[in-house]
Amino acid sequence: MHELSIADQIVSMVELEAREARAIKISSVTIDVSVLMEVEEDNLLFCLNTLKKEYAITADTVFIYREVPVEFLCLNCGEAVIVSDLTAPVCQKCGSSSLDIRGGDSIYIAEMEVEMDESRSTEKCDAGE
Amino acid sequence: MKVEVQKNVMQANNELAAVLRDKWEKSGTTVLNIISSPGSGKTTLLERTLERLQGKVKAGILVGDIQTENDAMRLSKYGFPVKQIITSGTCHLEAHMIEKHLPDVDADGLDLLIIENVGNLVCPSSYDLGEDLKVVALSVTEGEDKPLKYPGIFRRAKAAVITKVDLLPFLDFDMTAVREHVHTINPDIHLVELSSKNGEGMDAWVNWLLQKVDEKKKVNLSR
Repeated sequence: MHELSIADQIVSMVELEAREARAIKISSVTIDVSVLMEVEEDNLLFCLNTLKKEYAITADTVFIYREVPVEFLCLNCGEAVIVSDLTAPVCQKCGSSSLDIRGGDSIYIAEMEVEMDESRSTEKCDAGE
Repeated sequence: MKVEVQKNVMQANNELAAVLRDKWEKSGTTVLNIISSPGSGKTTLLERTLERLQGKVKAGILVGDIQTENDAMRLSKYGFPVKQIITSGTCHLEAHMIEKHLPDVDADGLDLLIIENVGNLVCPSSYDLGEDLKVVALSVTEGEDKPLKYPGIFRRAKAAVITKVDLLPFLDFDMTAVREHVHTINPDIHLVELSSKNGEGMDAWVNWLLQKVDEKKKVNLSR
């Protein structure tokens, strides 16, 4: 059940990100999840939709889940190998199964759609905040 | 308005793990993170391992469980510092827990730090603790297809230990199949088959461990 701690991390990260961007609302957040993370989609979304209520800025956020492949380096020929199915991955170039993980092994906040405060968008000076 | 974020959610944990890894690089400490399902025999394996490490290395043990000090009590009989990390519900250890409890076992630099993770084959595999080696344990009373069902940990682990092989005569467990499945997921993994109960395979396991400790120390000395 690591989905709960991951969801908690995601909600705090996007909340901070949105505040720094001076947004007033996050409409959607796209999350890229590596197959290596063994995260259960429904479970993660359930946790996100529960925890988002902690902040006004995320209260109505729609979370979009995308699965991303793992990037390996073939230790035999040096080719970059992109794999979605972890069962018996092999290098597409030389057929070797000796592969080392090089990327796409985590969970990433890819992008988000935010609403800005129109009344403040023309303000040039932050002094006094 | 669209905002590109491109941030790793595991970043906070990974950054702390990098700090720990750097510290252990400097001290020449080999760090093992042992991961398996509950009941695969991690703690018994460690008891028999610690017996054999006595007088050979300066070791410390951090052991994670959701509740109880039971494992720490078992592991503290071998003359090495042991600290129980009670996670109170969290299904895995995270780098900040290691950082917090490390001073209890690592007063003046260790040759070997063994971290026994919470019994769970999924969640612990995604949390970098700064270790050199993730070791996955699988007992012969489990299914031989577990490597296929839990590819994440078998992919990330540097070694796989098949435990309780003394029970093989009483089971239908297919040893050839499990070897194949482990190597299907990770052909470069170091595979060990042993019994903590009758000692079969234990020497090979401990020698492999001591070899890893030696290798890291040599790299450290040559720097």
